[in-house]
Amino acid sequence: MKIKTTDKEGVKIMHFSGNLDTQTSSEAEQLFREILQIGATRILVDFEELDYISSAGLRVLLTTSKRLHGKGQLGICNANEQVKEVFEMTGLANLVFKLYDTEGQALQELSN
Amino acid sequence: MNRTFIIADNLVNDYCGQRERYLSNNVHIGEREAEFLFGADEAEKTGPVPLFLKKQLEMADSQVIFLRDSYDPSDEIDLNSLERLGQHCVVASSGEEFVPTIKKLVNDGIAIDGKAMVFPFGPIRKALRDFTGIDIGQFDPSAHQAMEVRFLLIGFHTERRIFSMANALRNLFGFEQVAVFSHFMGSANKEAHYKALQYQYPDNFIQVLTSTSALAAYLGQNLSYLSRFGLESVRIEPKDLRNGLASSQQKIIETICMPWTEVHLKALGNGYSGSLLLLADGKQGTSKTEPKVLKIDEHFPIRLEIKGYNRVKNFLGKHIPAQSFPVTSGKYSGIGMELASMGGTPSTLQELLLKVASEESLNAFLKTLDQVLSLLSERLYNNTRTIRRIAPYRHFKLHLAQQAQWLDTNLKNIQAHPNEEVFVSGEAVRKIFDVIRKNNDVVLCDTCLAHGDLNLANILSDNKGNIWTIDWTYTRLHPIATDFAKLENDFKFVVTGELCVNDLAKLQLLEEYLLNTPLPVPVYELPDHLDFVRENLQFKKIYLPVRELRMAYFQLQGEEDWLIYKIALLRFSLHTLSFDQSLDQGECGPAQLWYALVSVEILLFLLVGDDFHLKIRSERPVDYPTRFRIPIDQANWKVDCKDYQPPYYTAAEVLENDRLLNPKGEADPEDQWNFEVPVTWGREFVRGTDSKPLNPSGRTGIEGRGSLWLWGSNPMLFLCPIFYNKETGTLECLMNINESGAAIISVHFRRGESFQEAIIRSEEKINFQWTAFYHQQMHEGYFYDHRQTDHAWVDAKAYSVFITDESILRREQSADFKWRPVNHQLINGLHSNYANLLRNSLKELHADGLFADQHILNILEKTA
Repeated sequence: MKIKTTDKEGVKIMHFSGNLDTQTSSEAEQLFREILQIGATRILVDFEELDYISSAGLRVLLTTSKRLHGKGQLGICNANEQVKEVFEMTGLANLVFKLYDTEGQALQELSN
Repeated sequence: MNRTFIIADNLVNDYCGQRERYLSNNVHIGEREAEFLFGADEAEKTGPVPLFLKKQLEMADSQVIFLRDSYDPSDEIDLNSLERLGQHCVVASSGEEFVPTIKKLVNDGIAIDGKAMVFPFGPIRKALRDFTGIDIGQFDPSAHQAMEVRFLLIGFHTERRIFSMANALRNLFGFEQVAVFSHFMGSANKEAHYKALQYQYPDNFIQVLTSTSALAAYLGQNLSYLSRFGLESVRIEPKDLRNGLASSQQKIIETICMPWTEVHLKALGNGYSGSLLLLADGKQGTSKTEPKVLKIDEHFPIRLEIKGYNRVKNFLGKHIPAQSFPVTSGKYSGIGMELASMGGTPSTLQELLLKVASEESLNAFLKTLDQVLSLLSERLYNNTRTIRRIAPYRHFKLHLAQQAQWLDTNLKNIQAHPNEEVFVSGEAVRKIFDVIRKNNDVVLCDTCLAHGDLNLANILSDNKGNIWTIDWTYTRLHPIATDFAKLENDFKFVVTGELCVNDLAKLQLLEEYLLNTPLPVPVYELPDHLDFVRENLQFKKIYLPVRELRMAYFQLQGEEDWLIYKIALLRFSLHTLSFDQSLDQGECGPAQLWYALVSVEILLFLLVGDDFHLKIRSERPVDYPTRFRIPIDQANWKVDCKDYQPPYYTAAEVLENDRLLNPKGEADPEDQWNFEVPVTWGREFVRGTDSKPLNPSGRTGIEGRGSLWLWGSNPMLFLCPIFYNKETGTLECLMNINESGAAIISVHFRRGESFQEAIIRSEEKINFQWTAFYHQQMHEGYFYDHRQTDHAWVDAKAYSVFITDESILRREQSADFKWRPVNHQLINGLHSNYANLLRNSLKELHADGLFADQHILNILEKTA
């Protein structure tokens, strides 16, 4: 798994590629923690190049969302069918983080 | 006119005489008591009994029967009685004479001689008829009920003849007003005397009057002339508590504590649940009695309580109090439970915990807690363990729509308390709760006979090392985690009562740790950010008992799977949210409420991310085998899942309808699956190594086709035809009713059949042209269906149809189709996929403003 971080319109964007699973989740969690520590409150996770997300990956997203303590927003964009399926199956779609079809849509909402 | 009929039994020398020679009689009440009650012959010393009877005889609307035993030793039957019961009331002896102060009254009343325990029916019938005109010989209880006559029975043989007479008058002849006055009654056997007055009389609807004022109220008379005798009930202290009691609650306490002269009460529970739980310290004169626990509640909970005690008493022996029969008054019942403390002073664990002010006293408290947990674990939990299948969220009643409503209300209330220390996202809490509480999957669970409501006020100990557990109303088979989690919840929120809102940030850190760590480490091993626990006794008062509980739980459970424990904690924390002191709903101040909310939030995030939640759904029709459940990580076909061994199932009906073997069959053959995709609006899918089509939503836990007829996509048309009955204001829906229950009407597409052809066939099936009515498409595409398997799934188009022609209801339908009233019971009884379709139809109706708005909203609310 690789994670590339960029900033756009005041939103911290994290581009994931590969698999977010048990083996890679701790690395992702550490990165999220660092981003929160520097005060980021609007975070967009771009899953365009993510192949697979496991329950461990979901837990990282949940933990991050909780650490935002309602004072920020966590969005997810460009999720493929498999990733969307996982969100649907678990009932997590748009539950604590919002799903967007494109980065543009996400930025439009998060940057406001 | 209201008449009073008094029966005075055996006020004779052999029972009530003061002279020495009568003291040997085995039914004598005692010289001092006889002297007090009957007095001497001089008017100024007359006792309360003759004084009372004299006054009654002077009143036109009162009559007194003087009943006494009378035995003739020359009569063989009488002789037998005398031999059995002892020499008393022998004809022409001074023993059968009425006591001197009564003797002079007898001529003004009616004297009747009887024998042994016999109800002197004839003479009493005559006396009553002469006095009131009522003939009890007619045995017409309904007529007697209406009569304005009240009975008062006094005298001796409390548990025998007086009881049998009172019982006959009340329950055989049907008089509603039948009472006894405890101060004018006696018996040879003190135990039997009080048992009768405390339990038998009330249980048989006979009133037991325990004070002059109660007697005056019953008779509707001014009895101030009796006030100097001090004929009062047990004195209830403290005054504040006494004044807060309803009259029937006070009556129950007076009855249970009748043998005492004074009772000091202490509330053991908060009383917000509507029940009273009290510790009663009694006095008999200056002597201290064994304390009792009193529980007063409505009748049904008390019956449950008794049932609970009976279930556990053989396991816990002396560690549960000895329980009495229930006493009833008005809408309440009460029981008294004696604590054999042998002079100790019982306190609740809650009182002990709140008194802890040093490391030493905390250690002593933990030692007591350890004893309690060992006792319950070894004697009760371990001896009653049973493995059962339970749906955890349903078991703890979290699935009920009302829980979500309560949470909404509580969130609003708590947000009203200012707090800058912690932030909890009410929106996230609400949303996640709604997701997880609908999980009705089943797990194998270790259950045992458990208390079910174990809190720190339900455990008592004393300075002699005795331990008791009380309040067993909710006792039944519970998951083993239940009592431990309930106690953990109690520790957190009792101790937080000593903390303030400024401590919340620390409490949040502590709670994060406790809920993420099944077995908390010793205090000295805690991570640095929890230093404050090591340094502050208040935080230790939470941390160390919780650690003790978790150790005891995992020692019993033998594994670290604590899913049920967390769900139980969620249940109890949610409940705590409602105990808002400022709304007079409980004992929790702002710090406790916020801490509970912090706990709820952490638990919800943990539970929604738990493997239990993140497993494939296990819903299935009743004829299906159990699905092989795997985590969502392994649901996707691209992920290797070596352990995946689902059962194979294709229903017999599907096999019988093989269209290649059966000319009328419409199902695919069992051994051929390479057919073209039937519709363009379904989801894309892949095929397995054997080329069987694979469900696009991933593994489902069952191979084969189940009850679906086609391999791969099964296109279906779902219809919800709804009619609004204006006359009754109800909605009706045409449903498919079969052995499995109610279902939404569906039409399978045949292989190669077009959408239009399927519509025509659907209209033939329901015998009317639904497309001619207003209809709306609710769904198109892949459809989650509880019948789906790894190799067969449903792609659906679903429509709601709003019928406006009443004649449609009278059209002949096949036996499988029936109009059913749409209500929450119907919807809640459907599989979730069908329930969603019907709910969506109702939402359409509501959105379009077509039919009864409030009715629909009510249904949607109860089916959410």
